[in-house]
Amino acid sequence: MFKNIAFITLVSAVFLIGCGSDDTSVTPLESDLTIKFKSHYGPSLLVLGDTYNYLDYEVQFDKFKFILTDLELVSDNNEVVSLSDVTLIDFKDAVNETEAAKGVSFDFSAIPTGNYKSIRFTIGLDSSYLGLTPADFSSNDILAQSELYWASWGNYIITKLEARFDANEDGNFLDETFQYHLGGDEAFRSVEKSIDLSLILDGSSSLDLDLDIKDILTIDGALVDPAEWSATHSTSSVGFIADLLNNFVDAFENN
Amino acid sequence: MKIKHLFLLPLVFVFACGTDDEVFSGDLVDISYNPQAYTIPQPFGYPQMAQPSDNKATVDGVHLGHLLFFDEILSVDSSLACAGCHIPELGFTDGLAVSTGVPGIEGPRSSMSLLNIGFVSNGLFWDGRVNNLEAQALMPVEDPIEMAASWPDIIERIQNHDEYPALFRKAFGIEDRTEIDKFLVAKAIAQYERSLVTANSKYDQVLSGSSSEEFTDEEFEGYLMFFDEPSAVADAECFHCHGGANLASNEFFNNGLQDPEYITDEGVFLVTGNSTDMGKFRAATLRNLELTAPYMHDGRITSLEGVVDFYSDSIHIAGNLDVNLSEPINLSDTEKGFLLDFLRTLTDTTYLSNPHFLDPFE
Ligand code: HEC
Ligand code: HEC
Repeated sequence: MFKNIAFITLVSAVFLIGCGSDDTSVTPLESDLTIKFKSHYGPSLLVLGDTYNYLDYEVQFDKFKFILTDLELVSDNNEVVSLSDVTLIDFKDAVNETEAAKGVSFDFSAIPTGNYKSIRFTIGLDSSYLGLTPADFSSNDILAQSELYWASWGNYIITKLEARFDANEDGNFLDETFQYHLGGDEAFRSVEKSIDLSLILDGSSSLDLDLDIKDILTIDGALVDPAEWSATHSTSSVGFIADLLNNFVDAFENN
Repeated sequence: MKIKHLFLLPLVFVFACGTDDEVFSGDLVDISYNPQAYTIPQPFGYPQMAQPSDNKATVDGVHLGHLLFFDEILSVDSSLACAGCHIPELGFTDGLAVSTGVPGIEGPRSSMSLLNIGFVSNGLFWDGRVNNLEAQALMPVEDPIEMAASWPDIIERIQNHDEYPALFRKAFGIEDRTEIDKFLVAKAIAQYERSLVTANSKYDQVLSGSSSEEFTDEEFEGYLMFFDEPSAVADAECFHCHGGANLASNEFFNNGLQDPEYITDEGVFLVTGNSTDMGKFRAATLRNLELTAPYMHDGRITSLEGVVDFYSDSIHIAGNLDVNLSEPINLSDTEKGFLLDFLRTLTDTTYLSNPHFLDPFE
C-alpha cells in the first residue's frame, strides 16, 4: 500500500513538472533551529506541584506562563532574522522532572546559515499592542484568550505566576498564596542575550534559554513575601509589577 | 473498492495534464455545487471565530449540519438526535444532571451548552479530551451510552436516504453517494455548531450600548462583585475563571466542587494522568445559566442560588484548589442576591425566535 502511494506521488510529481511549471530556484543556504525555554527554581528544574523551600515557607508553584514577542536572532554581520511575533511560553506541562527538562520548545526551519551573536525578544507586548483586545484577533490566537486579557485594566496579562505556601509544614498549602498577573501599559521589557551559535547548511541546532524564577522573585536581595504581596490586581501594585518585570530581564541565561 | 477509486482519481487527472476531461461520473454530478461562504457572526467583544482551513462553513454545509444535528437517524434505533441531549430551549443542554443515551443508561456527566461553542479553542468536553468540533462530532454516534450505533450502519442509511446524498453534494462537492463518510457527516455538524452564535443578553446590550437597557442597581453591584471591581461589596472572584466575552475559560481548574476524600470524577486527570490535574474541569460559559440547570460536570447543583452558596460557603479544600478560591468568599445574603441578579442578565433567549437554532423537522 505504502509503495503504491509513493509511486503515485512520484508519477504525479513528474507530470506536474511537465505541465508548465519551470521553477528552477536555487536552494537557499538554510538550517533548522530549536529554541527551548526551561524554568528553574534556583538549582532545581521547576516542577509544578513539587515542594520547594521559600523563605520560611514551603512552596508549590501552580502556573507559570508569559507572552514573548518579536523573537529574533542577530548575526555576526548584524543581520536580523525574525523568528516569531507573539508566542506564549507556558510551562503547564512541567509536572514532572522529565517534562520540565523538555522545557517549552519551538522549532524553526529555513533559517539562513551563518554565525549568530545574540538572541533578542520582548517580554510582554510593546506599545504597538496598546488598545488591542481579544476582539481584534482570531479565536485560536494567543491574544484572543480571555485568561490573558484583563478587561478592567484594558490590558493584556503578559505573565501569570501563581504559587501556594505552607507556613507550618502541616501539608496545607493554602496558608498563603500569590497570583502575580503582570500587565499594564508599560508591561514590556526587551531582552538581548549573547550567544555563540553557528548554523550550518541543512543542520539542526538547538539553543536553550533557562529562566530562574527565584531571580524574578528576588527584590532588594530577598524573596518576595507572599504575606505582603498576594496579588497584583490593583493600580497600587504598579511599582511592584515593574520590579518583577525588571527582574525578568536578568533571569534568562543561555547555557 | 472505493479506496482504489479515490487513488486513481488524481492519477488520471495528472496524466490528463489539467484538461477538463470528465473521467468520473458519479450519481450526483448533475446536481449543482456552488459553495457560498457562510458568515459567522462576531458579536460585540468576541474574537473572530477561527475555522479549520479544510472545513470553512458554507451555506449548504451549515444547512446540512442543521438537519443532521436534529436527525434521529444518527442513533442505533433512530430515536435520539444530537439535539435530544442538546435541546435548543435549554441553551442546547438537556436539563438533566447527567445525560441518558439510547439504551437508557445514565452517563457520568452533564450535557454542555453548544451556544457560542465555536469560540472554545482549547479542548472540548468538561475535561478537554477532544481538540475540535469535527473530532468531537464523530464520538456520540458510537458511544454505547449515547447513540450506541456503528458508523458503517449510519453511513449506509445516509447513503441510501432520499435527500441526504444531494445535500452532501451541495455541501462538499462529492460526485457519488458512496463518497459520503463519517468525516463528512462530522464536518457538516461542526459547521452548524460554529454557526450557533448568539449574544443578545441584557449584559451584552448594556456592555455594547446596543440598546437603552441599563443594569438595575442590584445587577450593577453584582457585576462589580463578579469582576472584582473596586466597590463596597465583596469580591466574588468569578471573572478569573469565567472571563472574556464568553464568560468562560479555555483552561481547567479545581474549583473545590468535590471532596478530595470522595472524588467521583477525576476530570482532566483521566486525560493526562498528572496528579496536578486531579478534579480539574473546564470553567464552562456562564451565559444562559437560567436555561442550563442543573449545574457542574455532574449536575450536582440544581439551582443558581445553590451555585452561589457553594462558591460563598462550601468550597472543598483540595491540594490543587485554584489559588483564586483559596480564601473563603463569604458573601452576605444581600451580596448573594446582587450576584444572582447579575448572573441572570447573562440570559439570552432571542435565538429561540430564529429557526436556524430550532428543529428543522418540526
Ligand atoms: C446522550 C446525550 C448526548 C447525545 C446524544 C449527544 N451529546 Fe453532546 N454531550 C453530552 C454530554 C453529557 C457532554 C459532556 C460530556 C463530557 O464532558 O464528558 C456533551 C458534550 C458535547 C460537546 C462539547 C461541548 C463543550 O463545551 O466542550 C459537543 C460539541 C457536543 N456534545 C456535541 C454533540 C453532537 C454533535 C452530538 C451528535 C452527534 C451530540 N453531542 C450528542 C451529551 C450528549
Ligand atoms: C478557580 C476558577 C473558578 C472560579 C474563581 C469560579 N469558577 Fe465557576 N467553575 C469553574 C470550574 C472549573 C467549573 C466546572 C466545575 C465542575 O463541573 O466540576 C465551574 C462551573 C461553574 C458553573 C456551572 C456551569 C455549568 O454549565 O454547569 C457555574 C454556574 C459557575 N461556575 C459560576 C461561578 C461563579 C458565580 C463564580 C464566582 C462566585 C465562579 N464560578 C468562580 C471554575 C471557577
